[in-house]
Amino acid sequence: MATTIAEVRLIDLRRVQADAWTLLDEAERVRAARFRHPEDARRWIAARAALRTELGAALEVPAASLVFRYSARGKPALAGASAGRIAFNLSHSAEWVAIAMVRAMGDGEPPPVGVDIEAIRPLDELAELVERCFAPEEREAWCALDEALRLAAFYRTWARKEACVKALGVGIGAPLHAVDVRDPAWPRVRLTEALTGHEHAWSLRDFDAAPGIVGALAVPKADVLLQVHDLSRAGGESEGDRAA
Amino acid sequence: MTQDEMRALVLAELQRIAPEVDGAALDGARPLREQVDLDSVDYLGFLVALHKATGVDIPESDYEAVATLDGCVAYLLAH
Repeated sequence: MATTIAEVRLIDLRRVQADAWTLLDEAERVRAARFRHPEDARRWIAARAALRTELGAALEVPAASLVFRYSARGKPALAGASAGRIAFNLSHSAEWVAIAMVRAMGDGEPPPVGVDIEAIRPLDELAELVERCFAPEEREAWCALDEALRLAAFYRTWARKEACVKALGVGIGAPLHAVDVRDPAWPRVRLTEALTGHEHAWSLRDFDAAPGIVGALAVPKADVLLQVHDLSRAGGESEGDRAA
Repeated sequence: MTQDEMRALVLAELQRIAPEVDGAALDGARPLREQVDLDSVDYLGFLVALHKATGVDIPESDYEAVATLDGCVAYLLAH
């Protein structure tokens, strides 16, 4: 059986063309206009244009022609002629966007994919977020860490959890404490009411989007080849798989 | 606490996480994350900060109720 491949592409938003907004459809332009701060709008538009560009290239169709539909939780998916051909997910933090894609194999739909990147920055509510969002075993492991390692470890764990819940499409209200990601090779999804029915084997790996920006890529399926491409480097340097 | 006082408190906590936010420019009826670029850490940190400031815990099942500024103020006053 052919191996499923999930790839994540890392793009520096400062390198996205200033006229990127021309690729967006009317609904996306309206959405971008809701941001109150121009820089927030610029990053959102650039990330969306990058998503369209990458999907368009992968599908060999014009980026502006892509049509999206949204789940009740707001997760976008391809609609129209390209529906079901690629599962994707995106995340942006600071000036970076990570775009994850899985192509359909044969006649089947591709498995969903989740990606999250997080710029490591100081956090006043660090202890409370660990208490609230980490599984008991994760909390114990985090508390045992040297103080100097805790902030980065928090974001690494958070990115893994977010990548998993984004793959499941359960959104911001997901019980993050129900996803135990201490072992990235086999994260355990603990059962709570909200996650019942989401038991899976997983493929999950960490990556670094840029210095100080950590990320994770997750697919709720075993033995997926997980690849990372940094498009800001010459030739789009690829990192080999570590987790499949 | 009055509604205006609660709104000021919520905005102060939001501005601590996103200093660029202009409270007067926000549409109270629209989701905050559509108007301010808050990632999941920012947003849950904001809810934790509100818990610390008001004593009102916001469980995951109520996140939708506090997605907007108006919803947030109403929720905190009601609890």
